[in-house]
Amino acid sequence: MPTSIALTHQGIASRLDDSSDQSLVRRAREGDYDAFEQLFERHRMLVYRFAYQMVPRRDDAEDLVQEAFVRAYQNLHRYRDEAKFTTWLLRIVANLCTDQARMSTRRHTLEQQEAREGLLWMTEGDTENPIENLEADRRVQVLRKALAALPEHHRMMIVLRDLEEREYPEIAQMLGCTVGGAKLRVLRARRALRDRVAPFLNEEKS
Amino acid sequence: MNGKLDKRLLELAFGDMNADEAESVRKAAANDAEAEATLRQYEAMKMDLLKLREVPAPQLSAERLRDRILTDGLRPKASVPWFSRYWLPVAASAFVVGFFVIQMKKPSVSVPSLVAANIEKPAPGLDFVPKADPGLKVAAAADASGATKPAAPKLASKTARRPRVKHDWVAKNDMPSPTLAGAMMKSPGTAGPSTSALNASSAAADTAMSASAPATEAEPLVLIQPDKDVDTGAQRATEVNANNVVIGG
Repeated sequence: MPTSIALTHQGIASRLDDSSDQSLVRRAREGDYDAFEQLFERHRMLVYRFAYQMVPRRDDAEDLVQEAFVRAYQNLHRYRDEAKFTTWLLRIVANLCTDQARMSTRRHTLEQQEAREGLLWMTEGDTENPIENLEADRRVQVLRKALAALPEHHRMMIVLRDLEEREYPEIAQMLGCTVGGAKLRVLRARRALRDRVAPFLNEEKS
Repeated sequence: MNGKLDKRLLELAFGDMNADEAESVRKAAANDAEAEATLRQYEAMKMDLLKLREVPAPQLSAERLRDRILTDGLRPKASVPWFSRYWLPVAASAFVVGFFVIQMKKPSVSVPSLVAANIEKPAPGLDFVPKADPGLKVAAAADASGATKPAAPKLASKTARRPRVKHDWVAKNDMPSPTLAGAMMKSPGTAGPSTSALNASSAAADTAMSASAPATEAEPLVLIQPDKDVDTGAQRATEVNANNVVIGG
């Protein structure tokens, strides 16, 4: 009986090992495309959320996600196992976002803004008080606009740390800096965001 | 409120502190109304940021990705390890260093000050005194600024050239040297060859060819040996009787 339990544990462990990112990457490197599709299915939402916060247009974000996975597949041989696969993937998409930010100015189409605002009017709020809900929505809108208006490097820090809640060592690995450096960058980004939001919040107070 | 407290409040509101640190900062903020208001503001900002996590549903599909990868090539691109952008600055530096090394090792062009010299004194052991052609002037070579090509010797006039008649005459009579030709043309009773007719260049030619020169009975020939005298450094010369010389060896 103990032997069978041990074998079962071994089987689970090997199955877990087979489905880990590292093993999927290894299989994809060897030409198993299904393994790469599993990686895509597993991490596409993570990459999409990050891309959407960086380029707040859904179609642009989707293009970025696809491009990031294509590049990841083409450069699988360069991926080293020391870093997490998601860290490497986010680094790719961060570079793509930076390139896009450099090449094109921010494109906020009026229709999309209007559609988003119209959608917010129809969404249900957190509280039963409709006035409070409206106020909360307005604050979120202010914050979203302030975040979109931040410089790209500050926005990336806010998205990584405060939206995606990535740990500082992982951010440092992604950016190629020390943990202290990552903390400092996040602090500067938060202050920059606060400076942009503060006038609207003070107006709300008064 | 100072900047340090502001930083601590930011860290507290955004969850970058452990429990002990958070408690101490909360106590500090409780005594300061402005700090307390700022902390509430930061906490509200953090809560609002979390609401931004909601994103519209994407339309990502594995089929679309597969199509794109098939378009670009399914196999991963082969790496080219020898080419890297890091090699470019290295190659550029090597090129610059190599260029300077070559420039430093390039020999400087030596500018001769004289390309010809008048021979005023005969070498010891010679019984004739060759004189340089007065028409031949020594031309200074290139200027002092260092031209790359040494200048050719300039002649004062066309008449300064060695008379071509002599050469023509020598060529017509198949004679090896103008000097020998002159010696042959002289009558047996006359003295040695006129030294004034010899110039520096013809003397050199005579030196090389005198061993095979035809001679008359009354006139001795001077053979200039190829080796030099140890004491004086001048080339040795031997006077021989023309009767003993076999022409054509």
